[in-house]
Amino acid sequence: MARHDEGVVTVGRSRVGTFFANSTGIVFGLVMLFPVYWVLNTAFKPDKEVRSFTPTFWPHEFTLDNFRSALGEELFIPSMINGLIITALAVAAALVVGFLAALAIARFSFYGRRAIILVVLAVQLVPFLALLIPLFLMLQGAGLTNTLVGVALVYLVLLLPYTVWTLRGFISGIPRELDEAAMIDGCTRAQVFWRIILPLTGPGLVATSVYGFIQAWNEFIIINTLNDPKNQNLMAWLLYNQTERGTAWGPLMAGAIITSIPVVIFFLIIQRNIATGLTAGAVKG
Amino acid sequence: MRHGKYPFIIGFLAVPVALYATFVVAAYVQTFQLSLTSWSGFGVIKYVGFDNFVKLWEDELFWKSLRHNAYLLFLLPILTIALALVFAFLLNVGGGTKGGVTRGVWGSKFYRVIFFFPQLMALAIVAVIFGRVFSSDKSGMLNGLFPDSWSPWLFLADERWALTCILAVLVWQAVGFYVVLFSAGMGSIGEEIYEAAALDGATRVTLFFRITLPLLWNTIQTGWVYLGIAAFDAFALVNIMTVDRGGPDGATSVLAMMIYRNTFEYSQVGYASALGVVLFFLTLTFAALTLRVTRRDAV
Amino acid sequence: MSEITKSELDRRSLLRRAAAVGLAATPAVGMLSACVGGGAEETANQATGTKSADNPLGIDPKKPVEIVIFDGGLGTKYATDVDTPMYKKKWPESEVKFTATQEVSTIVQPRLNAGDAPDMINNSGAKMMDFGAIVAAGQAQDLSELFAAPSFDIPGKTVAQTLVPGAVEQGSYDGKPFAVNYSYTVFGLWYNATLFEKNGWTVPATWADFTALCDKIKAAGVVPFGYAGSNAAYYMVRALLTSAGKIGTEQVLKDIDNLKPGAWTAPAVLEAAKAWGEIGTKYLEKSFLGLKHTEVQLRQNQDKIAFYPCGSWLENEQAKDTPPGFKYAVAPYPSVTASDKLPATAINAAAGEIYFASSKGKNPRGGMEYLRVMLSKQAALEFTKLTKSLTVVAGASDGIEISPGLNSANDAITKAGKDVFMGYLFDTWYKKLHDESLSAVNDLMFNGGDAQKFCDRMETAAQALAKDSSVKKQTRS
Repeated sequence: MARHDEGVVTVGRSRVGTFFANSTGIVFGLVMLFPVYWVLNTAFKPDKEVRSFTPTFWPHEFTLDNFRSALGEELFIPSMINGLIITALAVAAALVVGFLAALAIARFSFYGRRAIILVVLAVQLVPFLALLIPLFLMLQGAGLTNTLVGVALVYLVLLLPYTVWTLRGFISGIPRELDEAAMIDGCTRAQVFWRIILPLTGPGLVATSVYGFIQAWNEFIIINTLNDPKNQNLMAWLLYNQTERGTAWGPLMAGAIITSIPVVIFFLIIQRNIATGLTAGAVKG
Repeated sequence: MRHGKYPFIIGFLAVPVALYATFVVAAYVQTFQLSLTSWSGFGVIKYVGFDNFVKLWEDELFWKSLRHNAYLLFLLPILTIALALVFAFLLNVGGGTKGGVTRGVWGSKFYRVIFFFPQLMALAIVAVIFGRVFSSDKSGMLNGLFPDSWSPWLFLADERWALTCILAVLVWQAVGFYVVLFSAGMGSIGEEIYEAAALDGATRVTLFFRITLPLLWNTIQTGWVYLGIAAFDAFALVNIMTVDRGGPDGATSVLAMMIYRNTFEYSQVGYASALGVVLFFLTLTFAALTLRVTRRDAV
Repeated sequence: MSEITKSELDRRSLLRRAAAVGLAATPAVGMLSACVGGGAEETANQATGTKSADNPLGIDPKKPVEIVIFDGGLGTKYATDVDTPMYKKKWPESEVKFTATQEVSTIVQPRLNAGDAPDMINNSGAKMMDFGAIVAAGQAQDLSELFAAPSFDIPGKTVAQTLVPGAVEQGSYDGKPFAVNYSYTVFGLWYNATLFEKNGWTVPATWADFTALCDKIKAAGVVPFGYAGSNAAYYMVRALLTSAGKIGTEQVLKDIDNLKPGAWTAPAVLEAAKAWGEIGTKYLEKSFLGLKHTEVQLRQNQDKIAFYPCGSWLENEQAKDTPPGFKYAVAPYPSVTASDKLPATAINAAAGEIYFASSKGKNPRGGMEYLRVMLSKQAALEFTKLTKSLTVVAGASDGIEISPGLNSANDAITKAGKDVFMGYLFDTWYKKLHDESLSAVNDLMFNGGDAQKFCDRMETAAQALAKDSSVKKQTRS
């Protein structure tokens, strides 16, 4: 909303308004940040301070014991590795499968296209909890319960709708004329997909991989149902610690920090692209 | 261009269709089938017709849970989207102008990052922390902030407010994401559109309702769908945060919680499947309605 | 963190009783291991020796014996450092093969099914096997001979005679004993003996004493009674039903377990609900409904709460938070009426933690002999010292200072004499009814104390369950 030379546009011009906007922003930001701060605060506190009756808003005594304690837990490192493997498998598979499916839907018209789109849309609405039992039985039949691949498969199905949906938006946004021009220049259709559409879908791939990473990394209900303690991811491990050991706040929060590290790193790397990616997918969705 | 397109279509869609057929369609068929049995999860499967649905109809907790889901389905999207729009507006144009360019509030780039944090935090952790925030005695963070003379607010231990606490956390978790989403959408609205409108004498409010909102409409609708999904679920928060997991006295019970309990704790897989079937039709109805609304979107 | 796990696991021994009666509603993972195969055919080459006064079970003194111990909250030290040396001392030529595991079913079940079973197994932990199914498959050794054999170190008594009342019954199926439930949990009102001494408060025997004391405690600025509504309402259900049992004998609880019509509206239950509802209205803080057990227990450690209903794992669970000078002690629930059928000293206690000999092992008699060693007074005392958990061996820790809480629990059992009762099992049999009881008891205690409403509500739920053909019913007598 540009301030026009003639001063006609008044949006955001008044000082009071600006002050109000800034303070609202700060308050809102604090509310958003609070739990992150609280996780940090608790993680660096010694146990007795964590357990004290009244909450303290700063560690009086700074300690790394909680991190040692969490890392020292028997299944912590294995759970973390499991989580990374499952997430990587599911996200990578979702990107490949999703990209191809999105291509088919966005670039071709064919019988049953609309049905497929409808199913894709409906599936992402279904709470997966309702399918846990059959999924369990099915994977058990295939000998895939208690394996990382089995969980990765389920996560793939979970991530696909969003992936297909978002990428479809991106691909539709790329003018068909580009394809045609390239084909006139002698590209095969496959080359068009590979050389033109794939690079132009870049931000979309980034956006969906973030979404997928967060979803898969933070999931705990499905994996908890399908796998034994030895084949859990970190989130399920954390949840176990929350319910079974109600009092171990410090190590729990330390665990939470370690757990979030991959997500945060991943997020910070692609942070610039994320908003673009999300909107492009959504607006053209 | 038509030439040889089917190999591509088949090649590209074979894997996802196969995945859907097994993991979703077949799984749902099985859920439908199990909903007609009294299976406990072990041993023989016995068909009992529609007994489970009759039982469901008579189950007070089911109706309660349904109401709670409806409450969330109604309020979660509205509150989240409204709040997100306001803040996105602030972030983008709240900071006044400088050199002819509108700015967001001070530090708006930073906000965009921190607004994403709730998304990055695992729901399990969020639930644990908010459990502390809403703790029902003086050790709770909110109660700790209140003056000493107040008797503590019960929050999650109060049947009337427990579900609202859950709603608050859901909104908290979602809102940052939509602020970022809407901000990006607003950023992509051309400056000249606003200028033209402003020249016509439009006020801030008019700008928001006449220009920003309609141009963001598609984004908002997408958001609505995703928030709807969250409202149908809500399992993780209810499971970790609430009194007696779904209490006090069923005050925060939701369908997903019922399904989980009946499957894994009560060994009533048949009944749980019937609940799954109900959930299926509910989500489908929701999907159909959403699709109807978004039809102008070239599907 | 592992400290906490230990006590949490002890807490869950409550739930393990489900399997003690062989009817575990094993969740999720249980589906994986639902079948316990084969049972009819005899295993050849089982070791036997000649029975004698020195060898009452007739073991072959040269044959090795293989044992599997669950490595969880109780650890394995009691087996490796106490039981095995004692066994070896008695039978130097018999080798003891020892395996510790956290996943009993993963290790043992395939071997049971393959006919290559270890001789003595500690079936416990999250991955315990469905013991009812094992018994049904004929894979557990009949322990009648063990219980009839003379005690390892108490002269003139059989093993059965050295145990607390009900210990053999809890491991019996259709009247035959198949399991030793070794650890023993005492339930009651826990308090800080030091705080009570300092204030001159004495443990009440009657309800009038109880409420009078509560008034005094309240006047002193301490919350008289507390429990955590958020996740530990079952402690309160146990308190209420223990009172009901004391009013009208354990039969009241058996009726409840057997889903007998009118069991929940019986006068004893109503009476107990009224009495406790009054405690809730007058002496409980509303905010406790939102708290977790650890939070309430912590407040008791800080002397902010006087009485807390719980089991004898409490002391160990709170070890980290208990300040010096805080001395845990347990009191039986006071008599509600003057006409209570059981005396004020009557107490609710239950055995848990299954040990069984496999009938498909190569040396099941050796396994039984190992159990006989475990049930000796000496081994039991060492077990209690190492694990901070009592055993079913009666009076094994009498007169020996272990810890204030355990000694107090031990005294309570001694004082109760024959009036120790096992309590109820519906909580593990019918999880749904159990959950209803949690909501109902929270409603009773925090929401005005309407006893009739509590009874009617539970009766309705119990009868609905009784009519539900999709739920497998259990009975006890």
